[in-house]
Amino acid sequence: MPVARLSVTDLTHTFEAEHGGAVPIFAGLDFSVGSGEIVSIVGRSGAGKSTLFNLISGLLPPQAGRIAVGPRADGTPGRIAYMLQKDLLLPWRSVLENAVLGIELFRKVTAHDLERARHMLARYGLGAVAQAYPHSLSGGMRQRVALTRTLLVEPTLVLLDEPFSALDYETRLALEDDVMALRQSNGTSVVLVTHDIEEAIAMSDRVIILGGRPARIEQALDIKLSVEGSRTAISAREAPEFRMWHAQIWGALRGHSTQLGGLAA
Amino acid sequence: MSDVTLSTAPLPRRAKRHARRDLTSIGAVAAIMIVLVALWQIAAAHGWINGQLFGSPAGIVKTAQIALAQGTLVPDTLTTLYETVVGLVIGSGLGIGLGLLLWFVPRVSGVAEGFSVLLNSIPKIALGPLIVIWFGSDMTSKVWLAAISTFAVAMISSCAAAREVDRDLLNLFRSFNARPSMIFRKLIVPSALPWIFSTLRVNIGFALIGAVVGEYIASQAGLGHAVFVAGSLFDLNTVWLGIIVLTLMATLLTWIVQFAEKRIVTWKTKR
Amino acid sequence: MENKTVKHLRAACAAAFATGLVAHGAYAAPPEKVVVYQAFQSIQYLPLYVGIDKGIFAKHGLDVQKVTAGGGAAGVAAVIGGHADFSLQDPMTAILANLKGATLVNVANVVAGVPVWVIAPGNSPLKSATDLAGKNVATALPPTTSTYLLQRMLKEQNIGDVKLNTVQIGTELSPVGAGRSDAAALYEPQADEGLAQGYKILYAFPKAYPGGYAFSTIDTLAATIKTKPQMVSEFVKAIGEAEALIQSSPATAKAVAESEFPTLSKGVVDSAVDRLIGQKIYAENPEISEQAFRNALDLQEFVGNIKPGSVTYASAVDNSFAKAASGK
Repeated sequence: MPVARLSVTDLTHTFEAEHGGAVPIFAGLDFSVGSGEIVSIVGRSGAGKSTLFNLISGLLPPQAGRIAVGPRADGTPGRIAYMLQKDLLLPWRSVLENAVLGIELFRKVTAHDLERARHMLARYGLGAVAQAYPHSLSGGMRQRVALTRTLLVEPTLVLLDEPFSALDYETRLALEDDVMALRQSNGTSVVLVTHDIEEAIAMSDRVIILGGRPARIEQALDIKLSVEGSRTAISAREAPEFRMWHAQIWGALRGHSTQLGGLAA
Repeated sequence: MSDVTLSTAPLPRRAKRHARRDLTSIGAVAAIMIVLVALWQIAAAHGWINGQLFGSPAGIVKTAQIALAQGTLVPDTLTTLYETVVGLVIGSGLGIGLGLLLWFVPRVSGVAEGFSVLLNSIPKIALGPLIVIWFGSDMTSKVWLAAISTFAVAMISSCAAAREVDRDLLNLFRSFNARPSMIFRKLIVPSALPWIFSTLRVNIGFALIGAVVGEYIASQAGLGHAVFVAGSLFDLNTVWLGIIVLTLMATLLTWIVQFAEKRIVTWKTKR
Repeated sequence: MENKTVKHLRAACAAAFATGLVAHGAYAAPPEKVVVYQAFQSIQYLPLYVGIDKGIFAKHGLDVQKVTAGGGAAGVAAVIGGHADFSLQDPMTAILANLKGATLVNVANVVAGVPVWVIAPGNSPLKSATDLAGKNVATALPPTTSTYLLQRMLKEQNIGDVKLNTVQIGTELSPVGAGRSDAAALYEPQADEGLAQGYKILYAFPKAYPGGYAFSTIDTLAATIKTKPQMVSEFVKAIGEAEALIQSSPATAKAVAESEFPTLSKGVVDSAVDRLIGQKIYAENPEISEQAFRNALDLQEFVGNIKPGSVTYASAVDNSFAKAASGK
């Protein structure tokens, strides 16, 4: 059995409210992500998506339970890298220097690294602006640089927090294609936290619906779409099953919200 | 609709418009100054105001020629310039260095900041006589006064700049397992640079005040010294000359800092 | 039940009280407000303080308010600007303002001698002024008379290569104490402060200037003399009485000095007053003679602040009030 890239086991976490109460966010959450899998996590606002993101990325230590990053095929430890809605590019560094930032922070940057960086930037259409500075690039280009930075550290799993929601529609579609292509080229797994249902359906192999208090997995849907050839952002949206999945997920979230609205405490 | 053209096209046109606006405002200021000076000279020449008691533009020019001929104007100017610049560099340098390094010890930074707010509240001019008694009446005491005047502001603002760094950027660095020294060098210091430069610009004025006040209290040379002596002798033209040269000095220093800022902080585009 | 003695006593008190009231009522006019700006709070200006503290100005119908200007020029500026009726400082400061178009007149002498001494620590190898060659002397920031006098003395006696460490007036002892200067040229009470610490006098400036020296005087606007001659006259008379009181009763002078300078040790204050009386520094009468004026003017001409021939005694001094105060 292939080892999971990410396994979340019995995750429990509470949140200290201002008036001194402890609000449980997760109580024994379990799920895992396999190699080359794209999993989306959707839920209403406040369901705990951001907290889950912080827990998986390691920015927040869980109070109980385990979050394990699976090893690579050759046995070396795996690695998670993440991207936010903000590109977090350093304005005083050029595009190339920003791209190698991840590498630079844990070891010395070699000529080979720069070569790889230039190659990847070119693949994303940024070859001409490698020496330019972030302030002269558009939002879409900046997110691509952020993606390059994220990928250059060779992560086994990429964690994304609504990275395309601030971009225009056309750019967003292009970037969705870039992410989907990852599993083809490197077998990188992706966990996407989003409240854009269409994006979740178009990109993912699996959609996990988070809800309740404490949050648990309400549903985990395996998204099958009939498309010609490999899936693209456009062809996914044109697939016949697309509307059905949308209705199902939307219904689950809305039904969920009336449930929440009925709760008194 | 290509990404590249959208972002680069407007910039040169905007820059040109800005440059034109700057030139017109400079021109307007110059024109108003010339009119005021001309009115002043006319008033003094016709006796509407006492040209000797208030000074007059012609008198100032003559005083300047005498001061240059006697070889006092340039040495005095250089003395005050030296005191100001060295004091500025020492005070701001120490303040900025300390303020930034406090990022490593957030618990101490609260205490340190409290102290520097206290230090800043002390009118440095009141410390003047103390400094002069401790350090004597030569240039050293003026350098110290200028340094003290700039230290607190530099420290407070660099400390704040270091703390204001984007939380998400900090987290990104930490997620790449960066050591604190790396975070400091590669994130904290560069992001604080714009703040540091604006503090420097403000501190030029403080350093100059420190130097001049020190010269008022006890000195052998310098523009403040010349102004003080001239004032006691009712030589208003020399006083005006001193004021003008001091203003030019402050303007020159500000231009230098702004020039350095443009070269170093290349990523802040003016909107 | 009261006895007869107490009854008589009460009547006597009532009578005395009534007489006092009447006597006070006769002096019905309220005292005139007068503002005097002094360059510094200085023990050399004791006649002014005696006049105020001993009620001499009040006796002449004047309610004098003294303001410390922080420098001679500021005091003169206050008179020019109308904020002060009189100012007390070096008469030459008023002259300098006149050269720029002001119309100030000196009316009374207060410091009639030169209260400047050059002193050095007791264990210093320096013994006299000639030993100052090549040394560092702390002195007040110009323009001050002490520094000018020092410069002239060094030039006249050909004492070369003396570095002047100019500091704020009154702090001349600090650099000597800190080892940065070898000697100090200073006024009272710093001179006696130093002497009390074992310093010795290298050179004493209070030698007899024939005709006296107009060192510090009272000046006022020419316009004030025209519009309020009675007030000016009473003021100068009061100054004269104060000066006479200092000469006749040094004890009174010392008492006033001690109350005006509470932070100084009584010993220092008393020796300073003794020295200033003994060396004839305090003016014995308020007259400003032509010779006294000339002596002061010579120094300014030596330094180059005033060009020879640009000032006359008549234009700068009105001695009539002082003469009247002296009873001449």
